[in-house]
Amino acid sequence: MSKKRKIMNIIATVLKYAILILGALFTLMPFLWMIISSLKTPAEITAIPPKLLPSVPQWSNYAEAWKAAPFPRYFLNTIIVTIFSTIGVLATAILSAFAFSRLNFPGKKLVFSLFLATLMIPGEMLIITNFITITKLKWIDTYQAMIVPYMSNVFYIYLLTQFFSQVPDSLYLAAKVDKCSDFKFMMKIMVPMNKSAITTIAILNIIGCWNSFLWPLLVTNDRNMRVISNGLVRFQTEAGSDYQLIMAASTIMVMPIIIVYLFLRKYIIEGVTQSGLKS
Amino acid sequence: MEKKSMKGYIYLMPALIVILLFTAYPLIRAFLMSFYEDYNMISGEYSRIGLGNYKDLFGDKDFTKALRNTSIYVVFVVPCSIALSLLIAVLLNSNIKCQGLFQTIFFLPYVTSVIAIGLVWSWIFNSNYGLLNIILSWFGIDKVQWLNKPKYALPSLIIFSVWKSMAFDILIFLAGLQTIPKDLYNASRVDSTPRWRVFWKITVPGIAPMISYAFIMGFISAFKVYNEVFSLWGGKAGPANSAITVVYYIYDKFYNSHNYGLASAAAVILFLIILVLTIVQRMMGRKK
Amino acid sequence: MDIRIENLTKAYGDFKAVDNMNLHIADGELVGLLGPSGCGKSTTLFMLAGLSDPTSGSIYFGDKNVTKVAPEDREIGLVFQNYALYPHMTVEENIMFPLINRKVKKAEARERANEMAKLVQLDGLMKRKPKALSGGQQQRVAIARALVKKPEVLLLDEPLSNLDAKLRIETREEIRRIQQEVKITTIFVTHDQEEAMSISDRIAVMKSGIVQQYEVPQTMYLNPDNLFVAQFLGMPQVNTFSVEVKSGNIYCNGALLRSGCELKDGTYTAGIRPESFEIAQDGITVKATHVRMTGRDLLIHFSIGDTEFRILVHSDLSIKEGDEFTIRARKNQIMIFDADEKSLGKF
Repeated sequence: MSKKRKIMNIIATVLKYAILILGALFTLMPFLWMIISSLKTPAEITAIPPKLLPSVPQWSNYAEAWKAAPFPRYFLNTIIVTIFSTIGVLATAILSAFAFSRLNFPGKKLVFSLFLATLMIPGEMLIITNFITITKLKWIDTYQAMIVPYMSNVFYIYLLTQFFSQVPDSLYLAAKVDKCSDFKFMMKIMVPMNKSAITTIAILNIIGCWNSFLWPLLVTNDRNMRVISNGLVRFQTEAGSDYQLIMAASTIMVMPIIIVYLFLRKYIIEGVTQSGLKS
Repeated sequence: MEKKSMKGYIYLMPALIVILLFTAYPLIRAFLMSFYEDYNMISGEYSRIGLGNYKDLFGDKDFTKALRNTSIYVVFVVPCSIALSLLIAVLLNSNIKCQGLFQTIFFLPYVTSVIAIGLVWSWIFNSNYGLLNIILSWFGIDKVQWLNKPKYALPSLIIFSVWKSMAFDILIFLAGLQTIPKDLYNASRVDSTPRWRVFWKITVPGIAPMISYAFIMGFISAFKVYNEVFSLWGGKAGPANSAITVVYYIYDKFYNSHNYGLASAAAVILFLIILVLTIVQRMMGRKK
Repeated sequence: MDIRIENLTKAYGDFKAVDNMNLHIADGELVGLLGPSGCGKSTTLFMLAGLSDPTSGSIYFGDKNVTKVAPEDREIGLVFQNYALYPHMTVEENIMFPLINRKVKKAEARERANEMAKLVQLDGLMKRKPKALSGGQQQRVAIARALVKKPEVLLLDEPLSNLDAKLRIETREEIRRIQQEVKITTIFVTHDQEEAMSISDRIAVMKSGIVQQYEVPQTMYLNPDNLFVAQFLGMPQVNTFSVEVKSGNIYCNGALLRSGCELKDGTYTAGIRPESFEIAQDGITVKATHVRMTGRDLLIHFSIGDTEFRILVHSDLSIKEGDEFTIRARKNQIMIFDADEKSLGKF
């Protein structure tokens, strides 16, 4: 290799890392700024000229923010909604995927295409009527208002149908000969065999639920029914310029999901990639 | 092989009920409501059926502004995010140390709440104490009124959204890049093909399907932008409604003004835009 | 339990996968359903299992007409070509599965599963997942799972086709041994004639949905009912050629193969198995065009006129390519078939 090529290669490598590190910093910047700001004193946060770092980290900001608004209640609400909606989503997805991949019923293809067609409808178009429906059901300020409308996710049904279809027919026939009912086959064979796909769906749904905002905002008025994202927004208007507290509250909301993400990123990344490659 | 029976519907029932009640029915209702003039949600009464709502809609300066803003937003956010993501993904896919760490970092914005991180961004954009203006001051640039001046409202929104949407694009591109056979690169190396040619002749065609997918998905989700606006301006649509978007308009019309007909008409327009985009995607998908 | 198949037909539109099949399988017999792919043998097996409904006809297990009985109520054990083991369960859980479905208590199920494992020589592997087993071991798990519920009938679909050559021979002996020990009426499907002949009590050869012959392997090999059966059994294949019969003499391209036969004059199709020639002093002198050493035998090609023959002779004979030698057909080894390819006997 010529000397010139060598130098060019070194420059290219340096440039490559420089861009990547810059990009990573850009991505991390809001998170870092959020945490740094959450640790400042009120004086530091509005200091002119601005200070980059707090001189003494104010961990007490977290306790203060936690108490300043009913965050424990918001967390509880969010957890309840997330758990039940995820159970619902998994149940409907598993049942439907089993029907589409294993059972034969009249109109199967048509129903499947109609299911897929609903993917084209923007959810924003549905909220108007759904809001009216929830009002008429007198479900405003209830958990079911936040859970039931999102208990069936066509995209997850589609994804799981793909996975279920890969289970060989002979397993199904063998189980039939062995006196295994359809439902039992689904629970004992299909579900355990597709554990990781189901886990992925569960995690994606948990993240989606945790971060959901507009719909819970619409169907709750009572502050005791708010989920965390609504509560956070409300806290922002209440806290005014106490940005260190707002940042602490934001950190509190974001952290659980970041921790889930760091531990289960393989599932999440695979799930999102697959959804990209599959559709 | 398996006999046809109605049993399948028992399994489909839960999903079917939810979809019929909360997807199919509201879809039809939205269409109908968009033609009901002076619709009263409680009594279900309306004065007449007609195109009045659509006339009002396109006569409403806020709506045309929302359409214009959303279009500008889409046109900037999607290509910027895709270009930057492509660069990062290609670099990530070359022989890189800590690839996993980088990937974990770059995907982080995808999983975090738009609302929470939007609050952070609104703090970053703060004209007096925000990080962005601190950094700009290092280069001798004066304070910019990011969120307070109408002319900077959209740019602020776009910066935030590019940051957010890059996560998904990088992931998709990286997955696409990894499906390109290594042999192709080795072959081009043996032929001593220059790098830029390798990029245009092997890399880009290899992930063309991913790029078109990212474009369509980007367009669709960008047309639905709402949470970003809400969190940057604490529930408002920017100074003097300067960052109003279509979904913000829909939400505002039915939730605050209780004008269900107008909101439905706007929702139908949004649906049509997304329908066209989906059809374009299907057609591109079929071409392959 | 014996099995009777009466006028069994499975039609898909105009196509008859199984055409008016009649078969009686005696209690405790091991029967091979043999034929080329698409001959209807697997369809027959699936109808016996109840996984596929016959278009017409009936199936009796003992005295009971099971034609309309659901697969789970037929008391059958079924082994699939790809074994169909549940990948997320251990060997033990796989074998226990049919018992648990029948509400057998866990402790008893485990005991019976372990008994079964001993029978198929899997003890010691019970805690493994199927993925950690060899093909032959997986096959034995599948058999154990099929037998654990003590079925009346065992059905095997191409049980050996996923194994390599050496394992195939071992495993088929194993199947025979297990079948003998349990004394269960067993039907297995195969396209491998050697496999069918080596372990079956009887073979049913099928072609285009029709049973061609149902016989004990040796009889079938020696006295095939028709040309198809003759050709399908035996490796290397039977030599088939056209012969002239004139006043009791059989000629092939003018060369006299046999005299003093009671056959009408005319042209027939004849078949001689490669091992049914012998080297002799008098007979037809031919020239070896190819000689292949196969181990025990030499496979020699030669021609009579423009008909090519392959014969097997003992490998200690020193015949090389180009050598001339004299052969004759051994007594009663020339099969003669009529225009409908039906056997007219051996001469």
